[in-house]
Amino acid sequence: MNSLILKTTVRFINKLLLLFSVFLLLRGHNEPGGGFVGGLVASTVFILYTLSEGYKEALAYLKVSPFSLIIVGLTTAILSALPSLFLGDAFMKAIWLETRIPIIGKFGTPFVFDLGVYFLVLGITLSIVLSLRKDSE
Amino acid sequence: MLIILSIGIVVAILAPFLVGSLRYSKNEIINFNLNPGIVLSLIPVGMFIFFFSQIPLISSGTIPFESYPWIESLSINLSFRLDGIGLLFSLMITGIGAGIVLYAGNYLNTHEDLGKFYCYLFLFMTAMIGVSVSDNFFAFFLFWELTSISSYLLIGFNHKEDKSRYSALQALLVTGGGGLALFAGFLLLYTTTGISSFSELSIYNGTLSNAVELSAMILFIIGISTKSAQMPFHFWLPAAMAAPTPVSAYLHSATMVKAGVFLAARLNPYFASVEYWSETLMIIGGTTMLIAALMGVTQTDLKRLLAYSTLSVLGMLITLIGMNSYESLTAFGIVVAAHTLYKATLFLVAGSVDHSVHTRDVTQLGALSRIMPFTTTAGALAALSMLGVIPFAGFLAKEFVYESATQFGYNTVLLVFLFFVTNSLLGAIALRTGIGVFWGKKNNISTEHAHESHWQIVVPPLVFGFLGIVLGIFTSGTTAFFNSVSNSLSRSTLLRELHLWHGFTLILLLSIITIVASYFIYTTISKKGTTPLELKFRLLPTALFGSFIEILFKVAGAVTKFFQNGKLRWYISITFLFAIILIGSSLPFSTNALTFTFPIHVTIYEWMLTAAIIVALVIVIQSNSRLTAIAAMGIVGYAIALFFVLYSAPDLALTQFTIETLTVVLFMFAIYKLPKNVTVPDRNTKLRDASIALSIGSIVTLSILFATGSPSVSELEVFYNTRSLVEAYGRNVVNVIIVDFRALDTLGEIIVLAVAALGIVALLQFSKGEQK
Amino acid sequence: MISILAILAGLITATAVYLLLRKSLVRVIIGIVLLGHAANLFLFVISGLVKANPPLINAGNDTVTGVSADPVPQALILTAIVIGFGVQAFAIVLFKKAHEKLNTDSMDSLTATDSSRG
Repeated sequence: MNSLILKTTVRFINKLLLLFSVFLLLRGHNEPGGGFVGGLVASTVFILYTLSEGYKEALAYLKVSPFSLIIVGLTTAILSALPSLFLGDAFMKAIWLETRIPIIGKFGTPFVFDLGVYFLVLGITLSIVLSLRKDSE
Repeated sequence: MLIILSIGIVVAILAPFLVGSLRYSKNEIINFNLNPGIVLSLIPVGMFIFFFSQIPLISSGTIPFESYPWIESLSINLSFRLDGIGLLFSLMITGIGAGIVLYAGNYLNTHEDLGKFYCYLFLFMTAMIGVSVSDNFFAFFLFWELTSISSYLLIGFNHKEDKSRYSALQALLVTGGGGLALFAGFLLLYTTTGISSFSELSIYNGTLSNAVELSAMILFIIGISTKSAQMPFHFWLPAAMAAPTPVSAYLHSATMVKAGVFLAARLNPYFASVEYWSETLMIIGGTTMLIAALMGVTQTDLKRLLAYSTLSVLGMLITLIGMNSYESLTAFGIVVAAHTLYKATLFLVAGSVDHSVHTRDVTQLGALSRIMPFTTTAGALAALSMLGVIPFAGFLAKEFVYESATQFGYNTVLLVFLFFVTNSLLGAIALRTGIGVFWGKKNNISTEHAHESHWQIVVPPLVFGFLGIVLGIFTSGTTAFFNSVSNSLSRSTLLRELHLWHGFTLILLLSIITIVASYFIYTTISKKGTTPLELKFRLLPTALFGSFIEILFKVAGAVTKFFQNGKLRWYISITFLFAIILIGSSLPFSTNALTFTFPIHVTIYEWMLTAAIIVALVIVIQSNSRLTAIAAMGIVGYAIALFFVLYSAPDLALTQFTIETLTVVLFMFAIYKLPKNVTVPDRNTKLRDASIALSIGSIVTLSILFATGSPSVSELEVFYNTRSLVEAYGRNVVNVIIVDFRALDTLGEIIVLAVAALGIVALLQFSKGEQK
Repeated sequence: MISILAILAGLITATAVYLLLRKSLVRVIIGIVLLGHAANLFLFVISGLVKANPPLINAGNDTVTGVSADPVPQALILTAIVIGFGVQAFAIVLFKKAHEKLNTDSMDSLTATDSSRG
């Protein structure tokens, strides 16, 4: 797909979409959104890039391999489950900070978990789509 | 006792490593080659010493008890109880076991799987001790099944031979099937009375309904008969002689086959008062002991001779329990002890002869006494005990058997006659196996290479043989112990002095006549020769078993071929057809009312979405173009997303939109190389598939209409709505459920996703690599 | 409206099953996707339909006010959608590979194990 219009549009909206995905992730606890949707939207950024430029360029644009995103995501999600163990609580019990943080609001392990989900979904979607694209070429 | 069992399991696990390290790391610095059998036999010896040290305690009437909770809610506990009969069996298992371990160390010295052999053997030993000391029904059953499984592995030890594998499978199916019956029996008792252990059962005074009693009894008797190879389940035992000789000596004479008898003894305190229990045992046992002895005496293979004689003695033991008299229960313990000693010896001797002369055919063997003096001594000791010569334990056993027969109130003459014939035949077998082989006429067999066996093979049978005399001579010293054995078989307390010499009585006369008869039978058979009886008559049970297995495989094959013909469409049709039948048939019984409201308050948007979906569905089915079909599929997804928007599910709508986009993109990437739809199904196929599809569809519709008939606010909804902000600081309840309340589920889900992604990448990479 | 959606769910299911029973690989995959949609819709509808009141807690309140949509099935469906995507992607790749290897579009040709086909 070698369309100039597509290329220009993609370059223009990519940053916006990425920002939007982070926005969805951050507000997820209080408004519609969250890690799943955020990760999916983020992945569309790179998929659009694949469509306009090709998968190699998209991989370069991503800078890290999709697999490392899966690993980061899964590790983050599991790490978020551990703090409660050190406090003598059950596995995965939520721990919250007392102070509020700007933009996010209340900060706690569920947020870290959602962050993990975000990266994991992003990594999974990209590794599927990109490897399929690579295979088709 | 838990410690003993744990040691057994640990040794079973470690044994292969020990054998491996002893075998392959040849110690070159010190030229010392340690046989694994010597090292490993120390374990059962240690256990034997422990159990031996318990004799005074148990004899005094104390019964050690220990219990460890396991699944208490189901009354499944590891509770152990060491009473008289449990101790007797434990002594046999560890004592004979020690000899077997030592013996096998040389007998299977060069076998590549010696490590595995010891693993199975110790597993079996542990299981068998577990059977002897378990009080809880379910712990008992666990160990019981473990004996079946380890015995399967041991019989099939020479797994490269068809015959071994078949015999092993046969033994497993018969004893395993019996095990299931036994389990059913335990469950029946447990659910009707709440009793979950033998000790509770033996003092149970409540009454069971006749039906329960009878069913439980039948189930138990099936368990007993299969394990102890009673008629008509006897056929697996002679076939199991395919096992290596140490295994036959251990499992199929001394221990495992006695587990059934042991169970009968364990149940006897309660079941003796149950109608028909004693009679059934006597009939089964009596038939088995007579027929097995008749079949046995005609055999020519050493091991088969011994196998049938074992069957016969097992029948005798069952009969003794069935008689349930003062004398017969005392006789029971002594017969068990005496038989174990002489039969294990004879098997080991047979192994020694086979090892040296390479044949087990008694018509060929003879005149080995000079070549194998120690083996001969052991064989002779055992044979004399089996024949019932004074002062051997076998004599004592026979005395008690005759005494219990003569003192028995009913059918005395018949019983005496039965025991007399059986004992005479058994005596003849003893002469053939223990005497004839060594002193008999030498036949056309080459004894040039024959030699006395290694000490590890000779010592165990010699020791067991001598113990046969020791037990006989020191009879009076064992009174208290054997009384404690017979007491665990009955509710009433029996006390009886044991003496080797009863004086000149009718019983002694019977014993003497028996020996004479045995000799007469022996000489006749030696002169005339015999054909094994089971070859003359194609024996029914074996044939039945064979055809049963054959039919089973055929039916299973046909069923599998019908349901799994390899076509996905067939599997899907079957699955959906069953779903239609199961759900469809339950819908009319729904407690909810079917509510169908005619749509009035429906907005124009909703009508448009509905129409879009229906049109898209038609296109998906009709279109011949793949791209069109995929686009139509996308429309369905987007329309559903819009429904989510309309009905207060913004999170779902967002997710559905992005996922739908991704799916379509994925299809586009993948579809390049997928072929066009060329095959056009015929009309009948279409009709058939359409009817399945429409039935499923209507079931879905009906289910929704039934389910929404009575709208209600679920407790869960209230729970999450009220706690979301207060406890989890989130205003979006759906997200809070996902990342906080049910975060563990989400964690599981994302792991699944990661695995799916891995699988996809692997599939793609793998085939790439292959193409190069 | 429940009745309409019930019928729609039924129709989507029927279409999905019909497609699953076709020989063509592409149609089978489309069937899998549609079956996922139908299942989600089914779950969504049986929990009751509520207009314009999502399970969100408004500012100033401690709990969801009024008759709101049930959050539990929504959470279930949300994860189901994402999992469904994983399954569909796997099916697509699997069929694609099967097609490349065996060079067939017919499900009926995929009856033997790979070893027997070499």
